[in-house]
Amino acid sequence: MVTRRTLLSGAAALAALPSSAFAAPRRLKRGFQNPPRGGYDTPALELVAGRPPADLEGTYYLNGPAFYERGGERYGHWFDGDGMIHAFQFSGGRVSHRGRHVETTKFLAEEKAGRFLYPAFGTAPKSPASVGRPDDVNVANISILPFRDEVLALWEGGSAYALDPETLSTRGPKVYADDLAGAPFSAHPRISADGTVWNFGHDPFSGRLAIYEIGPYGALKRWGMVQGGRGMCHDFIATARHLVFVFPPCTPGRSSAHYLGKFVWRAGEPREIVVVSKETLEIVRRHELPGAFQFHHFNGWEETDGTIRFASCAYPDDSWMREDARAVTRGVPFSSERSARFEAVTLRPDGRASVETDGAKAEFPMFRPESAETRAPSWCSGYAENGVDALVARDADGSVIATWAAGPDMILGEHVFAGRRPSRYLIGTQFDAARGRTLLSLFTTDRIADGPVAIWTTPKPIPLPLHGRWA
Amino acid sequence: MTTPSNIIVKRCLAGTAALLAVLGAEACAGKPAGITQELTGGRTDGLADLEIQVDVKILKGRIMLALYDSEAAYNGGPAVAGVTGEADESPVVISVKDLKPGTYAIKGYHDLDGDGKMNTNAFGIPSEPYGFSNNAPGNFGPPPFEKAAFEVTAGGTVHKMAIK
Repeated sequence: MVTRRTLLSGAAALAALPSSAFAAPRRLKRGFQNPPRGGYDTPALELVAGRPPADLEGTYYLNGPAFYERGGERYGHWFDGDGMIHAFQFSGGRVSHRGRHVETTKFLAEEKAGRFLYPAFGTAPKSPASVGRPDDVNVANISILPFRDEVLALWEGGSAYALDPETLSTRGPKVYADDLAGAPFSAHPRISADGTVWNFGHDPFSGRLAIYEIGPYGALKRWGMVQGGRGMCHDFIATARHLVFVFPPCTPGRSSAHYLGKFVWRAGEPREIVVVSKETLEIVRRHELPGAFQFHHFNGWEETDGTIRFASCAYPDDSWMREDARAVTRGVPFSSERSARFEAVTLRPDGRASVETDGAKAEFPMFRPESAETRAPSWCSGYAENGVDALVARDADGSVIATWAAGPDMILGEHVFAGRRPSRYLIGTQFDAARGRTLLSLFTTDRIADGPVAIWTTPKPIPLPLHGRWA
Repeated sequence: MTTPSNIIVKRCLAGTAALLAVLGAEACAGKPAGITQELTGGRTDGLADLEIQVDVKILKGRIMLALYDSEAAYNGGPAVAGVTGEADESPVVISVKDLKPGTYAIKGYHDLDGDGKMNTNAFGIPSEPYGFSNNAPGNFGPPPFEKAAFEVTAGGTVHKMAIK
């Protein structure tokens, strides 16, 4: 029998990476320029390759930092930009594109002032305004959660922003309950097979961690509060009965005019893990893993003896976030040395925890939304053997089973499931750093090595996005 | 000068350190700094009257202020005065009489719903406006006493601040 370990080590060839796959990234900076104030409205994107499937009907919603310059000042970190929501609507083989700024309190106040007023994730303007509460600096720029009657633009330090699903006009901050007005609400909700949405809100300054259980139509069913760690926590894992939170040793610890500057990397300190019962919303287990930084996790599941397994994208430390995600806004490509690697985690019921890695690059993890809480295949961005970005498919054991290498100078964005369930397609963006253009690429999930079945381009580049969802 | 409302103000503001600690971004000086002016032609008996002018954005509820006369008091001791004023126009003008000349600092909030306490969400994030003398910005808690401190001189003093 082939064990999980041998399967993982079999993929180690992917770990040997050339330093850069960028030959001419001279137009990378175009991915960090302000969109038109009115947004984007393109009735039909240009199909540049392939043939779109006629049966694909729906909307690919996408969010990302977009607005980087105001009043002569320019943000210096990818995560600074005020959020823009995109809706790529697929109908009859055609794709239309609408993009709108999320009109947050911050965005509107700064538009009126004609300059940046508030500190951002990694940049502070020259004379920043007083920040009374997190929503004062809410840029709603990380991800999206579509419901039937509204789509939510998600940040993580404060409220979700509700938008009209058709026009994408901003309705305002989502208030789930009086006690939760302005409370942190993460950008990475997990959806159970029955449609229940689980999410969390985390305050790294106090370690307080709110758990939200939301019904399939967007109404809050229940919430609770536990004491988590103080490490920056961006995503979590759900299993059938538990929610797992990983806190990297990157905690608030110094004064700074911007958010990122307040965090300190505690080299040598472990990752703290807390396991919360879905039933009681209380912490039932704690674990530790060797120190690493991470944004994202793959699907997770638990076995009959209570063992919890999941995979993560683990960075050696927080330097990608501090350096690469800053330099890229100046047109400097990401470095392979500081990127995240695939990591398989096992949490035993007696508190033991272990981790193994095949060393392969992994970010933007993706799994069928309905498989979030089960042992299931996964997809992510990675590197091909020649160092270019790649879409990577893994089986339920975590072994790499297929890879598609993007072209040189391409930055592969997150690809999400598209189409009716069980979803057969993956849709996402690629930023062409040599030509300064955005591509939309559609894959068949079980045949990614064949390359995209269709590629479209937008008339103007859109700023490098983060996360999306199909609805 | 302690009054029942005074006690409420103190109790509510004591939570401010925790409230501000959750703020992700450091509060920086964005509002114009508060202004302290000496009043000419004020009283001559060695004591001082203080007029506090508070700019507000919403015209409803009450402005609740706690006045402190030392760093120790500001950091958790008793307020020398707890004063309030109806927020029916901006600025809200609130007077404190018979003060000893010296250094003072103010913590305040806008009690929009009139329940006598500063409302917060489950994370302790204030859901009503609050502010400090000199419009001093907080930084993981209320601003330090020295940032919020202003001089009240014999005769009379006007201090202008904002709670928005």
